[in-house]
Parts: sequence; structure tokens; C-alpha cells
Amino acid sequence: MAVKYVLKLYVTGVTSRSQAALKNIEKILSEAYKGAYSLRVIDVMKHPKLAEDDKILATPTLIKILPPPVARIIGDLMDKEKVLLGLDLVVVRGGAALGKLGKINEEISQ
Amino acid sequence: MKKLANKAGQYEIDLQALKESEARFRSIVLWSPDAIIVTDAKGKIEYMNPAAERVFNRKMESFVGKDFGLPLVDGKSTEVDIFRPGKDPGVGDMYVVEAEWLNKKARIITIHDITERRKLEKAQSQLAAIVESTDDAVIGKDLEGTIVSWNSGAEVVYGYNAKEVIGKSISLLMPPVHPDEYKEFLTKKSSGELIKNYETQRRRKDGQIIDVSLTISPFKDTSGKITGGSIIARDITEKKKLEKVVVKARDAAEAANKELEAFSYSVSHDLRAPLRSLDGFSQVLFEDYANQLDEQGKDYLQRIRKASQHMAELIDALLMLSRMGRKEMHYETVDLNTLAQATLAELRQTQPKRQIEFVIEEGLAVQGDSQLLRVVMENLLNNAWKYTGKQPEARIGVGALRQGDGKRTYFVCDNGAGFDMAFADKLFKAFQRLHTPNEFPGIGIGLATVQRIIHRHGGRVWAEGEVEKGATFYFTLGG
Repeated sequence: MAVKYVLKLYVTGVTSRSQAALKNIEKILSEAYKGAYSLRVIDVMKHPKLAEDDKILATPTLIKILPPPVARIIGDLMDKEKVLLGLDLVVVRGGAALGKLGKINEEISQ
Repeated sequence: MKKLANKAGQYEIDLQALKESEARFRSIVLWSPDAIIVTDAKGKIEYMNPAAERVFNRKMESFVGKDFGLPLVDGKSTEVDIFRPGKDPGVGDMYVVEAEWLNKKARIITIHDITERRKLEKAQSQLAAIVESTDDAVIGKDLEGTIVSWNSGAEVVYGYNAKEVIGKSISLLMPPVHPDEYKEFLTKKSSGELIKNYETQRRRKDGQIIDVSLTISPFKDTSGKITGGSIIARDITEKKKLEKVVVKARDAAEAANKELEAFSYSVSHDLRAPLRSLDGFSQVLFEDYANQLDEQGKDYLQRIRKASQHMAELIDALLMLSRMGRKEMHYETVDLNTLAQATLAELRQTQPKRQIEFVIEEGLAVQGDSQLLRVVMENLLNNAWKYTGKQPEARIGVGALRQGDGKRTYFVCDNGAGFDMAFADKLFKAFQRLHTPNEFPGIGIGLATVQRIIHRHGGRVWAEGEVEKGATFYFTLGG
């Protein structure tokens, strides 16, 4: 299967937050796009230049590069639905396509 | 007209109020200790407050218009790692609210820097882990002696679990016989004094009295006021038991030694009496009945006498050796030079005609038992004197070698008969001799005595020699 989804995950060393983020996102991606995604994990401690170029302020920051448009989310990567919506990736649940950022915003403000 | 003017005045007042209100809110944002980032609905950064520049160690200008991303917060807030180039990463608590910013939908992201708090928590949890992992009881108490903390070591040592004792008085652990001692502790503790390795007794939950070693230190608040204390208790019951066994064994050994001493004296006395008879009657027989004995008979009698005298000497030597091993040690400063001079002066008197060159180093002050060290010097110099007896130009030296670590090795050397290094290990054994009594008189007890004394000083003795080229005896004195 061709790689259709390309993502970068910025983490900081081996903090509990970094480890949890990595574990969560791998689970989410493998469930949603098994074999069709590529995830590059970047430690800001080892690659500060890359982090500066991408204007990283805090981690975990997840950036979706493909498919366009580029989208990024920051913070908690526990909730599969929120993560996929936040990345502007449509997730199909019960046959209905869920909305995009606006939907997330509603959830956050709740 | 008047109405209009009133209205204008009203606007002015409203504008003024608005300005004041704005200024207040600007101050809040400018002076907030938390990083505040405002993004548009798509996550583009519109504003960062000064605290954000501090928290992220970067300038606002380079971030305005850049993508911060969509903050995902599970519940009220979520923790993020703060990336700040050139500094250690931090930890922040991130809060997000939906709001309006310049009449557009926006997100206000607040990041509360909890790096220091996390560090403190980490240090505290490490300390807590140490406290939990030790086998010692670590107990916290307040000024009234109420137990406020209780680790797992305390559960093992005292048999109570934390629930049973927290909130109770520490006197719970006191054995009935020590009420005053605790009061003493309280006074000491309130004076801020540290009590270290104080050995006492405590009572376990099961009533068993245990031996403990206590270290008690005061807790102080930031102003230095004592608010309580920590008690570290080590169960030394087993150690105490072992100590008792050791003391018992030592007492037994001492008793055995004393018995042996008594035995030695009685043996020497009892053996000597018949020896005296042997010697005495042999002499009487020789003197009174000489005419009835032929030459061979007389020779036999002389041999009997010699043998009995030799046996008396052996008994004396054995007694001497055992005395050297038992004598009580009195440490003082002893000058080996003085001891050597005195010994050699005595030796000279015994054989005034002998030509011997002495070289005795100055400043050989040592710490040791003067009587025992005198015996050492006498034995070593007697040997040197004896084994240089056939040397026309005899030389005897006494001195010290300084080792690298500042310790000294003392020596007595001579240019006498020497010995074969192959037999060096026999030198210090009692009654083992490398020469026959005809060559050099002696019974072979001197060096065994020397060795025993040196060992009692915690030192070592050894010898180097070569046949007909002399011998050197080295010794150290421990410490």
C-alpha cells in the first residue's frame, strides 16, 4: 500500500508526555491508516534546528504534511476522534463524515 | 442643544471609562506570569505576551503569523513540554479558551510554567522513594511527639503499619523502663540538636523489646523555627546479640589464657624441682663417688648434668615467650636509639676486648610498650653480637628506612655469620635453629619472642641475609 499520510511528531527527550504521545499516535494511526502512513518522530533536544525551523514552542506537537493542507495539533493526543479532526483528516463513523476544525472548537469550548 | 452637550459629555465619560478598563486588562496580560498566546481560529499566532517570551525564551515578532496549531486539551488543562532553545526543557500546564479577538473568533492559550514545581516534586518523590526503600525506620513527628509519617522500614522494625500509628504519640514505642530518656530527647530536640547513633531500646507492637540505634534531627520551617523532628531507627538487636557472643568468646579466651598462665607457672615450678634434684644429685655423685667411676662413667654424669641444665633453660625460655604474649601493653614514646645504646653497653661489659663498630641512627622515637620493645632490641642486638663473634672487623647498625607513605621500617644489621635465605622462614619459629649450639650458643627462642612482640604492636618482622655476609632484621610497628 502506498504511503498516503505523512506526519511529524515533535517530542522532548523521553518525558512521560513524549512517551504517551508517541504511544497514542501510533495506536491511532495504525488503527486508521495501517500501512499507509509514515510518522517521523523528532526529539527537539537532539534536533533543535528542525524544531526552530518548524517554530515549535511546546511538545508534543504533531504536524500532518500529507495529504494537504498542512495541519498541526499540540497537547494531548489521547482522543482518536479529536486528533483526526484536529489534523483535518475526515474520520468516518457510523457512515457520517464528521466536520473539521469548527467541530473541534465546539468540543473544546464545552 | 443642552441635551446634545449632555450626550457628548456622556460619550466622553464612556470613552474615558473604556480607556481605563482597557488599560487594566492590558496590564493583566502584560504582567501575567503565565504565557498567553492568542491564535486565530486556524491556529495562527496573533499575539504572545511578555511572559510567553520568557517561558519559551523567544521573541514574539518571530512567531506572530506562524502556526501554533490546534491545542488539544483533555479536560481542564493538559501538560506539555516547553521547548526553549539553549535552555533545559520545561513543563507547562496548558489551558485553552475560545474567545473573540479583534472581533474575530480566536483561542486564548495560557501556559502556566510548572517546571520548578515538577523538579521539586521529582526531588521529593526521589527522597520519598529513598525513605521507603531503606530497611531503617524513618519516622516524622511534630513538636508534641505525635507521629506524622511512618515508612515501610518502620512497619518492619516496629510491627505497626502507618494507619495504626499516624496521629498517635511516639511514646507508644517506648519500653516501660525508659520514661525519662524520652523527655531528655524532647529537650535536646527542641534546642535543635542532632542526636546520632544513640543506642537504646524500643517496644514493638508484639511487646518484644528491641535494641535500636537512633538518629534524631529537627525539622525546621523556612524561618528556622523547629516544627518537629525525624527519627531514623535501625534495629540492632541482632548486632547486639552478636556483640554478646563476641564478648562471651573473648571472656572465655581470657579465662583460658589465665588458666594457661597458671598452668605454665606450676609446670615450670614442678618441672624445675625434679630437674634440680637431677642436677644436684649428679653433682654429688660426681664429687663424692668420682673415685669409683671410670672416665666414661664421669662423662655420662656430666652429660646428665648438662642436659638437665639445658632443660631448665628451655623451661625459662618458654615461660618468657608466653609472658611476652600476655603482658599488658602500655603505649608510650620509646626511643629505639636509647634502648640500643643501653643494650650494647651491657654487651660490651660481657666481652670488653671485642672490637665492634656500632652505627646507631639518631631520632628513632616510636610509639610502643617500652618493656617489650627493650626485649626486641636486646634479642636482635644479642644475635648481632653473637653472630659477629667470629668476624675480626665486626659492624652492627641500627636505623630506619622511610617508606613512601611516611611510615618507617626499622632495622638491625650486622656483618656476621648470616644465614641462607632458603631457611628464612625457620628463623622466627621457637626452638628452630640454623646453627648448632657448638657454633653459636642459644636455644632458638629469641626471634620467636621478637616476632610475638612485633605482632602485638601490629607490625611485621622479617629478615634478609647471606651466609658469611651478615644479616638484617627489619620490623615495622603498625599504625
